[in-house]
Amino acid sequence: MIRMPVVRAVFGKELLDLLRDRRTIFVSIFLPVILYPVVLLLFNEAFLFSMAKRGEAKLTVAVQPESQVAFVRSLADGTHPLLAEQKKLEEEAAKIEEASLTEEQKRTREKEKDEEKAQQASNPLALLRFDEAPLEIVYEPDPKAALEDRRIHALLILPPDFQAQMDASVSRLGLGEPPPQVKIEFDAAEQESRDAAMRVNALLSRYKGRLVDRVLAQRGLGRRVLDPFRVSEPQNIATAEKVGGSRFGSLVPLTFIIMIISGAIYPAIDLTAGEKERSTLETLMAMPVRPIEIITGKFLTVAALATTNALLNVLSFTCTFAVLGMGKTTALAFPWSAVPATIALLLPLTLLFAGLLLAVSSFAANFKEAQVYCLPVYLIPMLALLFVALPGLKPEGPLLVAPVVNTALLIKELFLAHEGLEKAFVFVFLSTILYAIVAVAFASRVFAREEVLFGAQGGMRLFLNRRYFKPTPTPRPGDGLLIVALLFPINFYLQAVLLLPMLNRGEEASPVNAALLLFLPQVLLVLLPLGVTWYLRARARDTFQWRVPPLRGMLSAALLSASSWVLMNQIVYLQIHYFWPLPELPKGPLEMAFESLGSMGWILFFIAVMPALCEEHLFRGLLFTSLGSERGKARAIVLSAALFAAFHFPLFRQPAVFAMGLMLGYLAWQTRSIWPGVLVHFFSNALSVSFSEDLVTMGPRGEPEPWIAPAYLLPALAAFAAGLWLLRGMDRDLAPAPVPAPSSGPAQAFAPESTAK
Amino acid sequence: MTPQPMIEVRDLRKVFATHEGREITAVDGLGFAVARGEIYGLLGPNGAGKTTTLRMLAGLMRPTSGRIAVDGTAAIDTAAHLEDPLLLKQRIGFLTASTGLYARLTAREQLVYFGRLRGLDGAALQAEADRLIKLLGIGEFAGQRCEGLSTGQKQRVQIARTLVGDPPVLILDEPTTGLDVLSNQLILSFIAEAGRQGRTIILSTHHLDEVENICGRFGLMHKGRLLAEGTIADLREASGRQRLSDIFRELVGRVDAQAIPLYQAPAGSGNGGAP
Repeated sequence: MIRMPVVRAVFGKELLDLLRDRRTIFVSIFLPVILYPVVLLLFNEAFLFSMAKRGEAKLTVAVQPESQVAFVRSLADGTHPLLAEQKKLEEEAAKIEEASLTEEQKRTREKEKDEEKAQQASNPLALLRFDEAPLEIVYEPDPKAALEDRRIHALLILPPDFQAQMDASVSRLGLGEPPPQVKIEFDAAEQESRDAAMRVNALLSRYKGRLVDRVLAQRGLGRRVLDPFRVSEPQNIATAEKVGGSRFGSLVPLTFIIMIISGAIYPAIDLTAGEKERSTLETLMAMPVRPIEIITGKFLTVAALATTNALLNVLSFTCTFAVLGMGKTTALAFPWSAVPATIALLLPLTLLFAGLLLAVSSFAANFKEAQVYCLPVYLIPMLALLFVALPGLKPEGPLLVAPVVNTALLIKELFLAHEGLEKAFVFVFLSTILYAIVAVAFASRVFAREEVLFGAQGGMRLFLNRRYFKPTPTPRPGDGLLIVALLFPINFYLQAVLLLPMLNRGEEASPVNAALLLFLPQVLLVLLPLGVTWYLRARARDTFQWRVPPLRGMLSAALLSASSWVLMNQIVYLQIHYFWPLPELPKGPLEMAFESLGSMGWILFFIAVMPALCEEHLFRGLLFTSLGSERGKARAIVLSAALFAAFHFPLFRQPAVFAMGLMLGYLAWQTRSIWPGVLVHFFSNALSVSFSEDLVTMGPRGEPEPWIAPAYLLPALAAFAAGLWLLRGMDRDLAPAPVPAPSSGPAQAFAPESTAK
Repeated sequence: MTPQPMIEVRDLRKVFATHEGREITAVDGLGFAVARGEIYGLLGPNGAGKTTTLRMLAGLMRPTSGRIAVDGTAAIDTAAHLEDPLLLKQRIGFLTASTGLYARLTAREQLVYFGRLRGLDGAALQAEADRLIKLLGIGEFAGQRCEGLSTGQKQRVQIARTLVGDPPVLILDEPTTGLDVLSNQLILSFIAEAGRQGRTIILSTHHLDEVENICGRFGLMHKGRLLAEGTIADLREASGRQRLSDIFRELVGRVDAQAIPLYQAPAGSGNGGAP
């Protein structure tokens, strides 16, 4: 269908057109290249500057009562006898030590000092010596007001007879009366006030240390009695790369994703809404080319620019950090080994955003409108990415296919150099490509619609306003697939949200939490389709096949109910035995949830009643009827079964679920009703959960046999065959399946500008 | 008229919804045929449904119902569930005054691009571009970006773009609207020349009198329907008037007395129906 020469022509022209635009060059090439070095340099400078200022700032501390001002001042300027004496002693000790050193020891000492300096240079915080910075000690009659007005930075309140109380406290050796209380008040919202409080605290601690030293000395004890053993610094065994990875792992995906969107947004708008605004689109559409060919060419253009942008971003970022960031420290290194895989992951993501942005800006009639439409594409991933920063969230299970988040999580893991990410990589890569294809297909449907092409305003309203929809018996195939595509990530996000509190607390699921976890995703499978059916003005009775089935159909359903669960189990046993040994599956959240429910009644409700009703409404209801038409029987049955299986994690269960889906699809098609399927689904789940262990025959060595005992298997096969036999030809006797109205979206086009007048 | 017309339109309808939710029937059961090599003038006031009709003919809009056949082959036939706009687009060159050029491409690049979209390639494509550049006297500025061209120069490039791939049918939707006298003249002489070369042309305008001598036959549209059809002689006879604008007012007045005082040619059009 897509002619490549046309796509190439569009691609070539659009690329040439955009590259002649300075704005494109700026956003896609210039910005990423200079952004990181400039930001990092500026940040470094600004940080050092503000730190230096903080270190030098003269901070004012008020003391109460006034009688204590002189005492505190003596502490601050070091003239207090105790401090002065101590200083002198230290200096003497240092001199003596210096004199006793050999030349070699002196050299090592020098070297150590140099190393310390270098270490400090790489860490600006280490340059600060808050406890040595000058403090101005004043008296303030109304200190609280002064603190609020920021005339003083901290307030120190001592008891009026502080010295006497303290001497008493020391002489009693801490027995009897409690020691005197000293209070520091500050304004936590002000940086300077926080610093002042910190310095006052440091000052008092130093004084306290000297006091203790003196008391110990008076009793002939050394300081060591207070410090009988030492714990050395916890040793970090992580490689520098790993430390760097953990530092950058959350930040980097976010930055790159923002930059990818920024790089794609301008070309995407320019090639769609921009072309409309400059009124060249009408002539383009008058050419003998298909919308999908044009949009593919445009998509490739946007993708090419955004990819260039992504690559430049990664390169610029890594180079910047390599050169400027951490050349001097050995504790932190950029995780170079993660870069190739990161680039490989960013490519499909770039395609996804290129497709998404093209799709939404195709709705717009002009640049301004397109920018509004693009905003959610920008904001929603940003919000989703907040997830990524949460500790403990890993790219596994449902999150593997959660768009955007999966990529960010995996990049985070790659940066931590965790092993065994190959499977996750495949999942993330392929699912993102799939989402990108869906986005492009959607864009091509929107792009050349006449309402959008000729409307004075963009067509978003037209596409979204229910009033303009033509009533239809069932939704169209695209709508059905779109709902399933939406439910996929929604379900996973929902699970993640519900699971998170459990994971964080490391607790077992509470029954309420478990019920929500089991209930909400299932209910969504009905609620969303019901809502969509109303919204699209489809007939619920046709969409969900709420018809009374023929008697023969119910009879068949009864036979299938009794037999299908046995055959399902048989498939699983054969699969285990011949192809795929039962994997050691960790207990999933759902299993944990089931366990916490306890009573069999609830378990049956959640495992049999809910899925039978809810899943059937989606997979043999809306999705099924939207896919089905007179010629679409096979398509409806196979595709709905495949998607049905896709919803049933883990992978291990999916072959059996697919087979079940085929059977349920056939049943629904032949009876034109959802109810036989609900019945079979209910019994199949209920019997499976209750009795499937009874089906297993143990072999001589205590291993399960691949075949179920003939006493079960043969009757089940017979009943199954009879059930299917009853269904044959039934669809011909019933009214044909209603066909959805041919065109999707609005029933009529909007009046173009000239006609609407 | 030849037995097999180049363009045949039958029972064409187009219904729009307004933003208020009302329905507007822009084209209401329109039917006409255009012979091979004929220049057909589709005339009518603003809102008569001309543009909608031509957009459907050019494959840009899909009819609510009806049939459009080109060159003896049905391209759109809603009764038969047939919809093949590509068939129309392959045979039709479409020009309107309201469309723009790609500002950052040169004149030659535009022609090459549209040639590619029409399936031309390699030497044939370059030859086609050269032919059109020569035909419309674009040579001097063929290498300049279109953003720097004058209105008249742009108009030449537009015409050249319409002719890329030599489509047998041209649909010209108000090609002279908003143009100065010189550009206007350029378009009109181009239409006449294209007609002499045997192309089938459908031309819509509300500058009635300036196309009097160009078109072989006229269809007068009003409120989505064809009010009258025929050569200028036929119309003069039917209405008893001489000038096309007078003929038009006379014929519209017969079916819709309200329409005449309301009809105002847009400002700057120079002639038209205003007394």
